Parts: sequence; C-alpha cells; structure tokens
Amino acid sequence: MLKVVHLSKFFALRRTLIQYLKGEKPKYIRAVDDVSFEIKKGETVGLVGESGSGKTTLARLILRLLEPTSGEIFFEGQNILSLKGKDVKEIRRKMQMVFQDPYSALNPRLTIQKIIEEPLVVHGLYSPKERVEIIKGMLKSVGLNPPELFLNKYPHELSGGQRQRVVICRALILNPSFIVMDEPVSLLDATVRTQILDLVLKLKEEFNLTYLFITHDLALARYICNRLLVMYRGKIVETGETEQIISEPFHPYTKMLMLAVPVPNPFIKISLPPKIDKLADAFIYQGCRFYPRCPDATHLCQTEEPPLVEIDGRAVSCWKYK
Amino acid sequence: MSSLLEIHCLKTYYFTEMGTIKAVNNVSITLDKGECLGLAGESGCGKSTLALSVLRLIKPPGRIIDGRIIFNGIDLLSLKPEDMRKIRWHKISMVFQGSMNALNPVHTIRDQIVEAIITHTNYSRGEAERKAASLLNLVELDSSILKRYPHELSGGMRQRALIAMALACDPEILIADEPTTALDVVTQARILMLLKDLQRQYGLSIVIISHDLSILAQICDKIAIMYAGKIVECASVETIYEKPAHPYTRALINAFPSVRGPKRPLSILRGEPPNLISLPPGCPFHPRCSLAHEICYEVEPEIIQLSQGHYVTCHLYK
Amino acid sequence: MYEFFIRKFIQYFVTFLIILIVIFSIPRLLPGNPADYIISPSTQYVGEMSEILRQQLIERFGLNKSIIEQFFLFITNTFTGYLGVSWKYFPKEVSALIMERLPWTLFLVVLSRTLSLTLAFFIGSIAAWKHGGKLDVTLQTLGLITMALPSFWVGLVLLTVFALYIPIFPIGAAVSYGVIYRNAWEFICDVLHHAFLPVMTLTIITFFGDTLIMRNAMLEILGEDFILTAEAKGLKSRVIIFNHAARNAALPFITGALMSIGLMITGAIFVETTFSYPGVGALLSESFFSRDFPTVQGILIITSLIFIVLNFIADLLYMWLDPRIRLMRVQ
Repeated sequence: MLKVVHLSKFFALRRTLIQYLKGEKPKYIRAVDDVSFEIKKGETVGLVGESGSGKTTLARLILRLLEPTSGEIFFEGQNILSLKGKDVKEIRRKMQMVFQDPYSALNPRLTIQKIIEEPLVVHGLYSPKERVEIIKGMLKSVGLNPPELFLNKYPHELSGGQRQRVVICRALILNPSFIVMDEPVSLLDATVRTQILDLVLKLKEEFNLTYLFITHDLALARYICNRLLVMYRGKIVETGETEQIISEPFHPYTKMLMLAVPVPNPFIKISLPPKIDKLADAFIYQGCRFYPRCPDATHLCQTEEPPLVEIDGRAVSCWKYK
Repeated sequence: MSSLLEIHCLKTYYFTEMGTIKAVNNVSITLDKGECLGLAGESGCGKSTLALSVLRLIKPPGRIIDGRIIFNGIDLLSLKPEDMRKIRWHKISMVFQGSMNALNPVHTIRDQIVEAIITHTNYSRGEAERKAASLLNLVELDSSILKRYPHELSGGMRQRALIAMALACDPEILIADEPTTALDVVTQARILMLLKDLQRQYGLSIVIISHDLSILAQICDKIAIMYAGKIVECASVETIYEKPAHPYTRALINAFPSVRGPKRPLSILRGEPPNLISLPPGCPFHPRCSLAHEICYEVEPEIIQLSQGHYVTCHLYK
Repeated sequence: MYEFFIRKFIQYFVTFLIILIVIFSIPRLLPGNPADYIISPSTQYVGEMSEILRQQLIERFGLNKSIIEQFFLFITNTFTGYLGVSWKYFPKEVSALIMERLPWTLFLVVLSRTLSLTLAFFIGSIAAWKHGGKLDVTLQTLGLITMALPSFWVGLVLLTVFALYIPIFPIGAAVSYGVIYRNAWEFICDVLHHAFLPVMTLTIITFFGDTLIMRNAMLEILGEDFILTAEAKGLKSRVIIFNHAARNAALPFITGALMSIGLMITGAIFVETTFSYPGVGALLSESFFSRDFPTVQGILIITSLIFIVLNFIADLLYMWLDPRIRLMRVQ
C-alpha cells in the first residue's frame, strides 16, 4: 500500500549575516535521512523513536504536508510526489491522519457536526441531509452514542477521550484506506488510552484500514502493531515483526530501549548500560548515527555508515550484523 | 519504621464560580522514614493538589479546609506562615515537572541553587557555591552547568538540575511531581535510578507522583492509588501488583502494556474520569465499576484494612 | 552577538531612510508651490508680491529643481546636520531653533518618565502580588479615570489650584523672566520650580497606565512555574516578587518604557502649550500653524531619529537583560 524509497528531508539552518557574506555553506539538519520501507495492506506498522528521531517529520512527508529533499513515495502504486492539483486531493481522501493533541486538532469555534462535515463539504460529497446521517453513523462507530447528543457540542465541552474520538471520526468520514497516527494517545489518561486503542483496533477490522502508528512508547507499539520500524536520528535502525524484535532485539539502540522501558511489574526492574556519550558534532553525518552512545561501537562504526541488512525477514543497520 | 509524615483526613477544596472542586477529599496516608511512596492516578484525581497541600502552596480559590499534616510531630497546618517558610525546602522539598519554566530563565543555575542554600542555612556564599557544585556532581552533571541558564540545558539536564536544587538543604522528604514526563525513555530510566540511589544511600524519603504505574513499579516501596480526590487503595508495591483489591486498581494496572513477558490483553474500563464539581453520590467510582451494587450508589465506602499495610476503600471488602 | 547589532543597525537605518522619504514627500504632496505658502501670509501685511520676489523665493529654497535633485539635496543635508532655514524666523537655521527647545522638552520628559516608571515598577509589582486586593482595585479604578482625562485639562487644574489660588508655583515658562542668577544652584532651583507642575501633570496622566502595564506583565509572570518553585523554596515574599517575578516582567516593561519616552517628546505638546513651556512640542504646534514647513520637517526628522535610537537602545537592553536572547546557541 505504501512504499517509501530513499526518502530524505534536510532542513537548512539560517546562516548569520557574516557567514552569508563569507560564502559559507549552510549547515543541515538531516531530519529524515535515506529512509526506505514498505507497508502492506492491512498491517499496523509501528514507527518507534524518541523525540528528535525524525518520526514526526517522516509522517508529514508521507502525508505530503512537507516536501522531501529527495526520494519517492508510492501510495497504491502511484508516485504521489508527482501528483498535482485534483489528484492530490484524491490521494488525501485515501490517506488520513490523527495527531497527538485532540484539543488543538479541532477548531474551537465549530460544532462537532461542522468539524466532521468539513471534509465532506471540501470534497463535494453528498447532500446536506445525507451528510448528517453519515456523520451520525460514524459517531456511533467511534463510540459517541447517542450521536445527537454530540452534534451541537463544541470541542471544549468534551473530555480528552471524546475529542480524540471526534478526531478519529473526522479522519474516517472520507473512508480512507490508510491512516497515519502520530502519538494519538500520549496526552490521554491511562484508562481512556486503552479505550481509544481498543477503538482503533476495532475500526481497523470494521473499515479494513492500514495504520502507521507513531510513538515513543515501545510498550504501546508492542500492544497494537504487528511490525515495527525503529528510528534513530533520521535513520531506520531496525525493522521486523513486533514480537521478534521484542524478544530478541538486534540493534544496540533497540536493546537499550528494551532495558530502559519500565514495566508495570515491580519484580522486573529496568537497567541501563553504563552511560556513554562520546563527543560528536551535531552536523557532521558520518558513520553510524548511534556511535556516540553505543556500548559496542568499533572504529568502523565511527567512519562508515552501516547499511540496512536483511536477516530472516527482519532488517538491522549495524556493523555487528552482516 | 517511624512515620515521618502523617496526613490525617486532609481536605483541600477549590471554590470556583462553577462550583466547589473537591480536589483532595478526606485523604489519610503516612510516609515512613527512608520510604519511597508512589501516588498514582489519572488527571484530576488530586495527587498534585495533595503534594502542594503538604507544602501549603495552595492558592486561592483553593483552600485547605480540614485535616492535619503531621511532620516530625508538628502539625504543618497549624504553623505560622513564617515558620512554614522555614520548613519549605529545608525539610521538605519538591521537584516539579522539568518543563522550560520550572527554573527562572533569567538566573543562572548557580544563583538558583545558592539562593536555596543561603536562605535556609548559615553557609557563606563561597561555601554555598561549593555545595552547589557537589550537588550537581551527585546528579551526574558537570559543574560547568552552574554558570549556564536554564534554556541552555536539555530537558534531562534541567530535570537533574531541579533534583540537585531540591537536595540543596539536605531535606528529609523529596516530593517529585511527574519527574520524568517529558523525557525520553533512556533519560527517564537514569533519573529513576538516580532517585532510587538517593533513597538508598542517603535515607531520603521520597514521594513520587505519576500517572504512569510502570515507573512507580520500578522504584516505589508503597503505592497509593487515588481517584476523585480519595485514596482508594494503599499497599506495598508488590501487593498492589499481585493482589490488587480495588476494582479501579485492577483496571489501572491492566491499562499499561508491558514490553516483557507474554503479550496480554489490556483491560478496558468504560466511562470517563469524574467531574470533580459534580461527583455522584456514594462511591465516586461506581459509574465505571463493573462490580458495583446498590450500596455503592448511595453510601461512600470506608477505609478497610485488608492486611498489614494494605488498605482499601471499597464496599466489596466489608 | 555583533551579528545582532549589525543586523539591527541596518534595519533601523533603512527605517530611518524610509521615514525621511515620507517626511520629504508630505509637504510636497500638498497642492501648490510651497513658495506660495510663505508668500500668502506675508501678503496680508506687505500687499501684492511681485512675481520677481516669488521667483526669487522659489530659487532661494531650491523649489525649482527637479524632485530627484531636491531629494538628494534633502538627504545629504540631513546627514550633515543641516535641516534648512526656518521660514518664520528667517534666516534662523532650523537646527538651531530645535536645539534651543529640545533640551527643555527632554528635561520634562525624562524627569516625568523616570518618576512615573520607577513608581509604576514598584507599585505595579506589589499590586500584582496582592492581586484583587485594595491596592489593585484602587489602581484599576483610578487608572480608568485618569487615562480618560485630557492632559491639558489636568495641567489647567493644577495651574489653577497651585499657581493661581495658592500661588506656590509660577504660571508658566521654563525660567523666570529677566532674572540674573547669582550661582548655578539658584538657576537649578528656578528651573525645578518652573518644571514642577508640568512634570506633575505628565506624571499623573501616565502613572496609572504605566502601573497597569507593569501589573499585567507581573500577573502573567506570577502564573509561571518558576514562581511556584520559588515559593516552594521557602523564599521570602519580597525576594520572590522582586528578584524572581519583577526581574522577568521588567523585560517587556523596560522596552515599552523606552518607547514611551520617544512618544512623549511630541506627545508633551499639550502640556507645553498649557504651561507656555518652551519645548519642541510647542514649537511644532507653532510652526505647523504658521506653515513653517522646514521647521516642521526638521522637528519630525529629529523626533524620528530619537525614537529610532531609543528603539535600538531598547533592543540592546533587552538583549543584555534576557539571557535567552543573549546566548542564542545552536544545540
């Protein structure tokens, strides 16, 4: 369904006046650096990484909210970067998003009905009467029942969980096939979180959806994703089936995460490798990105970037694995 | 184990235009010397208000209207403001979420730590600066951080600096309110391990407030689960996880997925966290409780002791 | 850091040039030849002017040259300090005229702003700390009242009470007329004596506004987390208000304060007129009504320059006081 090939996004830093006059080249932040992966229909792929790993930038690139510096994105076989105008609008119908903050995602001056109706209006679908029925049906599907109760409310009158349901409802109203979710539950309370996750899984079955689920929480990703992509500083360092990665992480970063993620069990304690933080210039991209923090690093890791190699249906980008 | 801090029947209410918010509604709990207590609960359960009440930092329209907070034999609520000021930081200090704004942006880290030391002790400025440097080393920060400003530090470094500052006057109790929320997993792990070290090595008593039961499981000795301004269950950390008694505790524990062990389904608790202005009668949890029966709708449950150190507030155990 | 300085300097320089263009254009956009403006008042007294005289005037003031030539002349003259010759006080140079008056205005403005802002800083801080208290509410009420009062009315009231009925202060002017001073001290006393009422007028009308601005800035700061940290640290109230809160609120307050000085230089026009105080505001009013364009132009140029300089100083000050701006590092 989705294929990303050598996608990169570099952000240039503004030069100071003096640097500009000197003719110095601008420094770049490589938010997404030569990323390639595929998502097949019906999968829930988890993109796991800490803040600064580039996962949000990658999400925006896929949704064409940002233009990439280089690379290609194929959606259902089409190269979406070459599309223009009306065709882009068509793609937008099929690809939707759910973002982190349910409050800022909803226009505070519109009623819930208007918020959910907006995509339908923009795409010129159905008559107003039909729209109301469709909206009511969708509100029921996301658990806001009875829908009449919610149509005329404003976002601030709803709780966090309810707002996120509205966001999901709006994302589903155009019947997309692919949804990108960026930290959809991290701002919600624990018990509400499980409700929303449960909803998301149910909706996947009901509407035949494919998900890209982005999070920093490895435990959460394990819970709902069948495949994981682990990102670190703009690069994908490990991919594979969720349970495979969880039971036997390959990449040193993934291993570190597995040790550090707290478990709701007082008998299993977290531990960490000794702190390693070699000095590294933030703008010189040479060798393995994880080198400054890697407990198993060798000299090769400092100079050469390891390629993503496939092993038994998984992939890892580390010189320890050839 | 002697009790260092005893809270009896504390009530902190916020009197707003929309109604009275019973943020802390008859809460009793103790903290022993050298113990690490975790206060768990979702947003709005009153855990932060409870912490602020201990230091008497509640601002209007909030007010502590009832109860006693006994620290080292003295009721903190009976102290004059000037005496309370002396207890703050010196005996009981607090670490807030290390957001950009927990530290004053126009003062250096050195100035802020030294200020705390000088206010409560007789140290000279030079001695205070030396102490500040050693505090930073304690939290694994280089002493060159002293001359920096808060915005120059990363989130993890700011959190550590806050912890160092909180230890400046060698307090007996450290209250940490969501100390790791905005941090990445690895930094979070280091901060948690640091807190545990401080508890073990220096006999520091810690209260950790968090919505994340996973991190509380890591370092707490005792956990109190809060809901709608009340403590619904309190027990040792092992008991909470092995034999949770209150329906809410069970739901909460099973709401956190785990990376270890077999993948198990998460429990789904219906309903929303309660509106503290208009609480339902009886047990505040009954609208969401699958085991609720008639008495739960009408009568508020009392605190029942299930075993040594295990308390629950639920009609199921009468 | 120098980067910042240079960039700002260029920005302000360009702003100044644009202002000069505007100042240049305004009188020339009015219909008719400026020469006619000089001549028409004079014709009331002299009678018909001959065409020759008119042509001579036009040539004298360079009004027959092309616009571009005039403009270049204008710019080069301005940057060398020559602001033209006054048409009313011909042949007195405009720069000399302004320099006679500007110090008096600056005296009033600096004195009243300093007084008002210093008081506002402290009282605003305390009012914010005791938010909703008696001080706070009184300030807001009085503030609304005084801000609605016209400055000349306040001036007239003060004059009437303290110069007429209870004659402790002089009715106007900067110094007593025709007095010879025995020493510098006497001069200073006289000046202060004359300046008292105008300064009081200016202070009264601005004080409440300044205080409310400080109070509002403080209120915002007091809601921040680090104030809670400061309280939890067990610091004394005085320390929290001034070392922590006011120190932060001072940043926007000071920049606003500096800019208000610039505004008041021409804003003091009503007060100067009321007290017959020989300042730049009075000169502006006078020149405007007598169509003395060069003087008007000159005053606009000087005041714009002062305003820009103050703005620049405010930027530098802000940079110096706020470590977040001072230390812009890439992480």
